[in-house]
Order: sequence, then structure tokens, then C-alpha cells
Amino acid sequence: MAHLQVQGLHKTFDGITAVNDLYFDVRRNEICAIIGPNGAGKTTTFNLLSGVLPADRGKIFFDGNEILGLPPHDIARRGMVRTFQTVSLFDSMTVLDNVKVGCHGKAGAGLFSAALRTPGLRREEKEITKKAMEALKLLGVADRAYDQAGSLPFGQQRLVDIARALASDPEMILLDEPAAGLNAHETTELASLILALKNRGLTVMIIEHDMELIMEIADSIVVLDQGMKIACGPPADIQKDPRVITAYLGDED
Amino acid sequence: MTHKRRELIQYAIFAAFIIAVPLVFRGRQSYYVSMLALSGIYAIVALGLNLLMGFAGQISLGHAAFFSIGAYTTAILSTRLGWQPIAGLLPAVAVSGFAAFVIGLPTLKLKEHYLAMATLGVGLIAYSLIKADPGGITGGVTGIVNIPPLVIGGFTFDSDRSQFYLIWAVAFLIFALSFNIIDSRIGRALMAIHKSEVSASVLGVNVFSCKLQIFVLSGMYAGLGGFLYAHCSPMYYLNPDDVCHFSLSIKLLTMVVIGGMGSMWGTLLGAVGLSILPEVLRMLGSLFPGVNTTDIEMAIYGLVLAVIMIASPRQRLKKLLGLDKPRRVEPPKDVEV
Repeated sequence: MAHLQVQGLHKTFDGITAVNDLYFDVRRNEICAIIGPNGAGKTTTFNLLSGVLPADRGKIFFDGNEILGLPPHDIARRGMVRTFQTVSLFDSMTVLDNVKVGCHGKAGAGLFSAALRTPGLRREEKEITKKAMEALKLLGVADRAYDQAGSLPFGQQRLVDIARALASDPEMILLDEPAAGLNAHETTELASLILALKNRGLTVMIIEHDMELIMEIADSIVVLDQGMKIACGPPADIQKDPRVITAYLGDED
Repeated sequence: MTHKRRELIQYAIFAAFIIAVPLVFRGRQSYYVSMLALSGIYAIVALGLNLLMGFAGQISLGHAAFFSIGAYTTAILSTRLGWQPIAGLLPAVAVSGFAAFVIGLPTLKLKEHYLAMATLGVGLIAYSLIKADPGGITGGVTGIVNIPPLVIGGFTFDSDRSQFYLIWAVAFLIFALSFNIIDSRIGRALMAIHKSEVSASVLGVNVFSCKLQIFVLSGMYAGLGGFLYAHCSPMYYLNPDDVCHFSLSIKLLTMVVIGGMGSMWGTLLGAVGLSILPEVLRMLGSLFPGVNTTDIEMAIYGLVLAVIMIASPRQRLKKLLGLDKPRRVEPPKDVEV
């Protein structure tokens, strides 16, 4: 069974169709890229998948369970997390505390055990710290753990953003243009990082304009244009698909 | 200096301050002790409001409502039903907390200005209900008189000094509990919500539940403050204009804002500072005959709020002192980096 099944997903904004009757599957442990020209509905699709926006109609099955209509925190706790195009770290908090927020759904300490700092809470806090540090290590930014998040350079903020999403041990991560604003070197590192995530058993969905990056790492590609899926398949097929070439190159050049 | 050590030193300074005040102001000056005792009550309420506003970023313009609910609950129980004053503690805190829950449920779905207006409305409704007294229990405009002082373990808290120590001991406890909350999963979630509700929610934070929890907690703090006020107020007397008026909500809000929202020490200083403001004004007022200083008190709160909102002196002050540099926290010893 596919890890994620999207069936007839539809979303309009004031009469303008952003996502049009979209169907696609994402297999477990693959890297699936969503590409398409600006305004194709890629980010809207992510917003619908993660519950940030309500859909007009359609079905989304994650791990076989219908998740459409669930609040974002519920979807995150089920193991699907995401990052945003614009990195928005909680910039007055430390890097480590940012990542600890990512562990929120996995922990259960309430207000009163927190106020009284019960032994159970101390244990849980220790566990959270460990998890958060592991995520930072994976992303190679553990040395910045105790710095204020807002003080990091952009590239590192992006890594912390991803670490924060990974801290809850998700099964699937949606990355919205993770290479935007990164230099060539950082992009190469990002590519190997995403492959490492796959090796750890994660399913990755990625929206990206950097075609070189996509062709290098993606197992499958979904191409959107004006909210509609115009093609999907492995990178080699997509590159040759005439509809993609018109939609893409026709628009861009 | 490690984080832990600094924290301990701060607590020690706080405790020393509490112990020192009644020793410094003696004899004819013991009036100041009762004034500072009252400021401790406001500090408790303001600490709760700071969790809500400073950390979670949710405004309340009606916190006097929860304060008065706590005060009236215990006053009614101890005067009309003859309860032991201390027995009113749990009901006072629970009823205020429950009121906050019922009010928070619909209002916390609102944002910013709308939340401000809704909480303002709640405060006004509580005020008019207590004043109109449709149930015949609040005493209407005359309020409730002859509220008994607290008796704990045979000791009666009826002197300025004993009330001061009691109130500030509670304030100290509340301060420590609040610090623990901030330094926890819930505290981090609150700060995350303050920055971006969407970012927090996709990380698994149940935004509404967190907001509601902290709203209820701040309501309970206010109820606790109200409880102490009822049994420690100078004349053992409650009336709606003292405990439920809109100006009290503004006063509490100003304490939090003046302390630089989100700073617990700042809130404490704000509470003490604003509580002694009337006294300072009176002293200044004696230089200008014919000026009624209580009239300009509200104007000063307004002015302070406006100036802070416009100039944000905390940021400027930080810059001036060179404290605006990105901070790096000392890692605790038991964590390898």
C-alpha cells in the first residue's frame, strides 16, 4: 500500500482553482518531488496535506488512514511533518529549544507536572533534550544548539528548521523548497542530507525549483500546472515528457 | 556562571528582599508594608497575565473579572456561609479557573483585537453583574464587609507584617512555579505559539489547547490573588470598584507591559512599581495644591502604556547597555555538545 494516497484533492480560492482534482500516490521510503511553474499549486498541495488549509473536497490517506480534515498538530503527531518555504524559526529561543518544540507531540507532560517539576517531567525533559540533540547532530548544526536561533546565518537556520521537523521521529517529511537561498555548496550538502533521510527509512516529499537537485535525488516526480497533474513518473520519463517540456520550458523561456 | 547558579542567586535576592521590607519599614512607616503587601497580590495576578500575554502572546483586557471572582467567592463563603477563611482558597481558585475555562473556550478562537474586545466585554459584564447583584449575594455597590482575616494553624494574619510575609511567600511560590512552566514543554509551546501559530501547529503543538490551559492558569492565579485580597485588604472589605473595575484590568496589563512582556522579573518590578505609583504621585501632588492625584493615576497608566508601545524602551535600553547582542546560553553540564 502506498504511504500516502491523494484522491480527488480540490481547492479553490475565491473561485480560482489552486488544486484541481489531484490524484497521486507516494510509495513508502521514496523521495517524491512535486515540480511545476509558479502558481502551479505545489505549496497549496502541501498546505492541504499538512492540514494548514482545509480542502474543498477529496481524500488523503496517510498510512491507510484518512487524514483530511484533521488539525495540523494531529497530522504531525501521526508522523507527517513539514517545513515552509520561508524559514520561520522561533528566533528569540535557542536553537535547541526550537528543536525541542518539535518533540512536543511525542511528549505528554502537562502544566502541573511542569510547574512542580516532577521526576517524570525531568526524565521526559532529558529524553526530549537527547532527541533534539540527535536531530541537530544529524543536520550537522549541534554546535549551535545553545545559540539564539535568530542569530544563525540563513543556511544554518534552514538546517535547524529541518532538524525541528525531524525531532519527532516522523515517518514522512514534506520539504517546501529547501534549497531556496542556499549556495551551491550548501545545496550539495542538502542533497546528501535528503538521501540520508531516505536511508533512515523516511518518506520524503519535496517541492523544488532546482531541477538538477531533483533529477539527482528523486525517485518519482509529480508535475503540476495550474493546479492539475500533467505528468508523473520517474525522473528519466519526466525529462522526456513533451507536456512537461511545454509547461515548463514554454513558460520559462 | 552557570544557568542554575544564576537562578539560585536570583531567588536568593528575591527572598532577601521579601524578608527585608518589613524590617526596614517599621513604626510609622509600616503603612508602606501594607502597600507593598498589596503589590504582592498584584504581582501574583500579573505573573499569570505575563504567562498569557508575554509568553503566549494572547491579550486579556478583563483579568479583573477573575480577580473579583476569586475575591467574592471566598468573601461570600466566609461571611454568608460562615466558612473558615482558608477553606475558601480552593473554591476561589477553582471557580476563577472554571470561569476562565468557560470564557476562554469561545474567546481564545479569536485573535488580537478581537480577543482584546471579547475579554474587555467579559470584564465589563462581570463588573456590572457584581454591581447589580441579581442573585443577592455580592452586596451590590456596597460590597461585602467584615471579611474575616486568614487563620492558618491557629495563627491569625491580621497585622501588616504577617500579611506581607504571607502574600509574598505565595508570590514567591507562584514565581517559582511559573519559572518551571516556562522552562518546560508547555512553556516552549507557548513561545512558539507567540511567534507563529501555524509553525507551532505543524510541529505537533495543539495551539488551542495550550492557549486555553494558560488562560485557565492565569485565571487561577488571578483567583488566588483575589482570595488573598479579600482576607488581607486594609478594611476587610470588597467592593466592585476596587476589585472588578476596568481600571484594575488596565493596571494589571500595564504592570506586565512595563516589565517588558515576557520577563518574569520585569513583571514583579512592574507590579511593585505601579503599586507604589499612587503614593509617589501623592507626594508629588503635595507640591501642587489643588491637584487631585487619584484623577491623574489612570492618565499616567495610559501614558506609560502609550510610550512603551511607541518607543519599546526595553529594546532601546538593551541596545544602550549592549545587551541586544545575540545571546548564547551556557550549556548544562550533563549534555554533550
